[in-house]
Amino acid sequence: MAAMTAAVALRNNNAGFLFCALILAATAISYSLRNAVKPEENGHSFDIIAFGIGCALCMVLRDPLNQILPEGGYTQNLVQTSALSWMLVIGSLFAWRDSTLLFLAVPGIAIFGLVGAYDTLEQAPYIFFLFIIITAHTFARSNLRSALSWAKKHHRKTANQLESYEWKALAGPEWAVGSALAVIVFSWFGAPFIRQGMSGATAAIGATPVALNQPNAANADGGMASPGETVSIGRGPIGKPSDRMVLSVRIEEPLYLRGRTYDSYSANRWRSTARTTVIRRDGLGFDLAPILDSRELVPHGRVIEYTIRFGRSGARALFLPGEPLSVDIPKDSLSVGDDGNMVTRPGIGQYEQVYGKSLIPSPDIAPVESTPPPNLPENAQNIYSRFGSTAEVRALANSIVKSARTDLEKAELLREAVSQRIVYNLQAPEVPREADPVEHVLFKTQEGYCDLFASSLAQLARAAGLHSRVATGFLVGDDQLVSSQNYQVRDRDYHMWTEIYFDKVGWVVFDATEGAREKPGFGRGSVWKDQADPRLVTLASVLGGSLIIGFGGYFLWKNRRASLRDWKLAFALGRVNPALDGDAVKRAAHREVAQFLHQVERISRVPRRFESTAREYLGSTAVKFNLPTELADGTSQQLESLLYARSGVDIERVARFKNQRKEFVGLLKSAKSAKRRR
Amino acid sequence: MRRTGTLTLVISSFFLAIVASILGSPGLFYMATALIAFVIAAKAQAWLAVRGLRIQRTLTQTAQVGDSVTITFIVTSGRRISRPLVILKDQLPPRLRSALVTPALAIAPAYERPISTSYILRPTRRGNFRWNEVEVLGGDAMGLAQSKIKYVLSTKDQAQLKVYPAPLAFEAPIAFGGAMGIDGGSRSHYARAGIDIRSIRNYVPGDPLRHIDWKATARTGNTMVKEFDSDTSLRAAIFIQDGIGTEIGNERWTTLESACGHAMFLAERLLLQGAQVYFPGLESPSGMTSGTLSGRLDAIRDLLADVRSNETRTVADQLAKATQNFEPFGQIFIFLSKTEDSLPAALGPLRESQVYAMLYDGSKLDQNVPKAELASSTTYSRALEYAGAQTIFMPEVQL
Repeated sequence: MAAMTAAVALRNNNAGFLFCALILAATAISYSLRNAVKPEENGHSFDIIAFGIGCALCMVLRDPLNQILPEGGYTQNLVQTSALSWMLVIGSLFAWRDSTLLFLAVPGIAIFGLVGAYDTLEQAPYIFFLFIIITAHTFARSNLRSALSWAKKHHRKTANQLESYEWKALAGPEWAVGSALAVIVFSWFGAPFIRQGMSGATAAIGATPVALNQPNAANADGGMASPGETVSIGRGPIGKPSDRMVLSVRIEEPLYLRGRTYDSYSANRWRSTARTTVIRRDGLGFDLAPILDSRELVPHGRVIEYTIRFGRSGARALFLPGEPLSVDIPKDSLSVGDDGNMVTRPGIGQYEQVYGKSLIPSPDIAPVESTPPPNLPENAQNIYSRFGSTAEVRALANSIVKSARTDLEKAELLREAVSQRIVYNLQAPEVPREADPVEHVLFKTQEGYCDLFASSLAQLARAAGLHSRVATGFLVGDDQLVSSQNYQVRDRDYHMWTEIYFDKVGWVVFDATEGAREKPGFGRGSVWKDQADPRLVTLASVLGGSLIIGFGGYFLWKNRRASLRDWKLAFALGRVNPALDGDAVKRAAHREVAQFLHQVERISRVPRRFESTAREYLGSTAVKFNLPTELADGTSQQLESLLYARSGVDIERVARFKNQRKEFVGLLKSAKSAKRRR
Repeated sequence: MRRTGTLTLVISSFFLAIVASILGSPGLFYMATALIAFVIAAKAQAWLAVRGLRIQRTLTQTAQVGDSVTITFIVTSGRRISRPLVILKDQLPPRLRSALVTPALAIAPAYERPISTSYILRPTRRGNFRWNEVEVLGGDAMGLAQSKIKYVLSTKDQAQLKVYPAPLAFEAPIAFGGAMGIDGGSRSHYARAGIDIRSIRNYVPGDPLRHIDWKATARTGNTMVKEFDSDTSLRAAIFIQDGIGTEIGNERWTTLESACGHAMFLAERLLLQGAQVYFPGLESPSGMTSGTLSGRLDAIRDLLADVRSNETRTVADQLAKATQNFEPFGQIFIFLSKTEDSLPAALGPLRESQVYAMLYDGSKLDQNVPKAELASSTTYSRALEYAGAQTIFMPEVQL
């Protein structure tokens, strides 16, 4: 289960199938070994040593072992998952020994831990819960087996002998499963509270979930928690983000929510030259006016209001539309960049909200000329220069825009050219370090994801004399609309796009991924759940169906001789298995007696001395409450007949005692209330 | 192994929790919470499993070294819960050295329903022991966690066990009563059995064949022998060196244990020969009661069970006291582990008695004891012989 979960989370289902097959085969070998070696008799412990050596080898040989897997195995930075899965295979060879089972659980848990850290499989906690239940049951059975084997060795008692006396009231595997279920219920309701309670601490620590291939602009968590000053591009295949909701946005129309902008491009990465200033909360909010000149950037802009609620804690960056005019967030300080990006410390908690107003370009003013943005610092004067591009890129840009008359037309032509030239593929290979990612994607591979689209367009735009930059954040579209003006933004919506500055209009978004061709299954916004492999579903259905049919068949076979009376009896006693009806009646009788004595103790408030028999106790209670002695005698007699009758106990006798018990308790209650009244 | 596995599991769960905290990943939080709760639930189960029990204990009151003693616990749960298995372990007194033959079977205590379990131990040392604590070890249903608690049982359920020494055979310097050999022809000068028949009892190996009561044997089907009133002229005294620091040995065995076992054997032999046997250092003339042979043997077992090397007296002191309080003895047997300078001189007044010094070589039991302090040293044994004692080097006891 752990190996398959990891494989699904890391989109290599075939590896999961292979591991499942290997583990099943290893378990079968282990079962044969168990019969051959008979561990209860000779107590060898070489298996633990062998398992340890096997685990060490899995770690040492993780790379070659990973390469054996289908589809080239897991990517290099996820190779430890492969090593852990191999440990499960090795461990399954020793599953015949109960103590190994305990150790076998550890790589399983570690794998689930990694899956949780990758955070790419929303269903991982549910699978883990199932894992816990199965583990509890397995451990309990193994524990019982050990105890049984020990009892056989020292006391020569069989399971039947023990179950009929010494272990009759045993809390066995069903108890373990029950407590596991309780644990799951507790976790289900408790974990969010615990997490919320710790959100302050976690945000302060501020680490991010392990990205499948960090740093990468297209990875949601990496950017959401704390966008860095630089971002690498063309870093190869990434895990597809999950479908989990991260932001709930209330806004008039769908817009790009910008988290950070990058304006300087060199050596495979984008860098932000924005200067940041920390401002403190003043009265009702934060005064952005001394830092941002939004009205100058967008002189004819339109004001929009928004409310953004965070669906998870740990984020530090604010994702805002347009050029911020005002912002309010329940924090004491805010770090504001002169490009409008904002970061808080400590991080934003789950369900915390950001309110504010922003300016967005007015649709009435058509962008015409791209100029450098106003108030550009001196040190940033050259960053929009066309000379940042290579000759090949410049030649391509010129060939694309030669027919354009305005800068807006140039931008549109370039966007179209990029979207037609590059295929969107989340699995695009990594760009070699020595190569320029933009040149590489435009002229060689022609496939990539949003970072290469955005970077290519930005560089081409610069080559064509336009003032461009890239931005990371969330894409809000109509497909996220859940109700009027309410949008739910998910992990998969994390994005990078290009912005070009137009005089009197402001920064205008140009998204080259729009209209681009996509590699099937790895297109824009694809998530893991789309990847449900039909073979996996078939396998799960076949396995599940076989288990149900198998258990059902076994149950019916075991109870094949049960008569209708047995079934009725089983039903009356609340049992599902009539095969053990004799024991069930006996147990029911004992339960009746114990409950009765406890009830008498509770009502009468007369504690039963340990050494007193039931007859003595009932007699003394009857005397104390002036109950007829015949009643106490009769009840005691029936009680004793339930426990000690030579002829055994039958359901009719239990029923008779129930009536007698009722009578005794009724009289005791009335005697007690009469005594109280007096 | 299971404990290591559990520890690993606990560490994994906390590691997961830490990673979840650092990353703030909700999925990981669910997993970590479930795992920690899983471990805590196991701990809680184990904690509950050992509490709220009522325990009674039964065992035989007396045993001999090497005998198997069965100790039974009767356990009842005071709470209406199903319990995982618990193991009961008696908190035996440190002095009670024993070999555990069969540990107690793990049981699941039931509400209002006594469940019994027992274990068998084999005491390897003598003594009079009392204890009232029981340790209950329990785990959870999955065997992940363990918990233990000590129950102090009431005085009624306090365990009391008196362990008698087992007779250790050796070549005793006595001729067998009345007859040696199968034909009973060779009489010893010690064998002076009386004429009056005191009682008839079962034959035990070593009884003279001529004492077999054939009529009683035919009647009962068991070999029976006649017991005669002893000849009062055969009086034997046995002394055991029990001063502080005179016991040589280790955790497994000591010279005092050997001395008590050998003394028991000797006393039995002598009594079977019809002799009167005294332990003047351990009993007073007023405390002695005349009775049957088995009664006297029981009394001697009782005496020897309580012998401990915690007395401030020497064997010479014991001899002096015996000379004052008892009539003269025909034979005197002294079991010695360590040299006692005053002893050769103390043997002087006992010229009329046959004195045997049984000497132990404790060097094998404890190599740290200087050889000169060992009673079996040549110098000391010669000194005893000069003083009129016949020295006998006692054999090493094979454990």
